[in-house]
Amino acid sequence: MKKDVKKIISALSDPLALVSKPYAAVAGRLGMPEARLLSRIQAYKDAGVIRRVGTVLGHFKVGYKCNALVMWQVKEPKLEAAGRIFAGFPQVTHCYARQTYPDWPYNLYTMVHARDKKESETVIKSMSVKSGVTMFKVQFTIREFKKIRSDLKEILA
Amino acid sequence: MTTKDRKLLKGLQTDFPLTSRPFAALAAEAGCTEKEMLAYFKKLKKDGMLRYIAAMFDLRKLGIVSSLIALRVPESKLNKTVKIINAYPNISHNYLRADDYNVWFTVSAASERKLKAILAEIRKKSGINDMLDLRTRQVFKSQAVFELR
Repeated sequence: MKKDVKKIISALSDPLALVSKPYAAVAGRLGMPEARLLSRIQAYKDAGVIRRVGTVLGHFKVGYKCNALVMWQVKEPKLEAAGRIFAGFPQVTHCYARQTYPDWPYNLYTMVHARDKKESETVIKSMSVKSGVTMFKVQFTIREFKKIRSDLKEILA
Repeated sequence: MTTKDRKLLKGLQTDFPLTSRPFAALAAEAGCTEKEMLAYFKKLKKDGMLRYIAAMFDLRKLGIVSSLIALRVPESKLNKTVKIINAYPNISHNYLRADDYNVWFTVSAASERKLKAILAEIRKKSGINDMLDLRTRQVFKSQAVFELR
C-alpha cells in the first residue's frame, strides 16, 4: 500500500468528530484540503475499499440484547445460495463462509441479533427453513470479553 | 427511544452524507437546524445509543487477512488467556461461548505471516494449543444494520 494511501486510511479509521465540519477536521490532521479528502473518500467508495460512511449503534442499548453465533454445515454446491439467503435476514449482521476441518464441518457462520432468546430461535428456525440447511449449531454469547472497532492504524502499522 | 429517534437513526444506518457539512445536510432533510442535529447526535452518543460515525472498510480490499479463532480453554486458564488475547490491537472481538471451544475471537493482520505469528504467540504465551483457525473464505454480509421498530 502506498504511504499516502495508508496515511489517509489510518486517519479515516478514527471515528468522525461530532462537529459541523468533521471531514475538514480529518483533512486538517492530514494537511490536505477538505475537498481533496472528500474526493478521495468517494474514490475509495467507488473502488469498494470503503463500504460506506455510517453510524454504528450500541446494539445492547437499542434492545438487541441477545446475540448468537450460528454455524451451518452446508453442502458445498449450496453454499453460495445459503449465504445469500442468510444475508437477506435483517437480524443477521455478519455472514461469512469459513474454512473447515475434518472434525469441524461448519462452513457458514452467521451472527444473529435479537431482543431475546425466543426471538433469535424463531429467526434461526426461519433461516433453516428458507435455506433448507438443517445441520447447524447455535452458540449464544455468555460474556463479551472485548468488542472494539478494528484499529486500522495498528493493523497496517 | 422515541419514534423520532428511531426514524432519524434508521435514516442514518445506511449512509452518512459525504459533504462538507453533513449534519447540516441531515438537518435539511429532517427539517431542523444544523445546531439541533448536532446536539441530537451528541445526546445519542452520551446515551450510548450511538457508538460512533466512521468509514467502514472492506478489510480484504486493503489486503488485510482475517480469521475467526476458537480456543478450548480450561476454566483455570481462562482469565490469563483472555488477558493475553485482549492485549492485541489486531483482535477486535472476543467472546465466551457455551461450547467445548469456549473462547472465540476475531483477528486481522496486514499479512498472512503476521497473522500466523500472532496466533503462534498466543499459543506460546497461553499454553493453549487446541485452536481452530476458521479462515474467512467469503463475506456475504458484514453490516450492523438493524430493523428498528
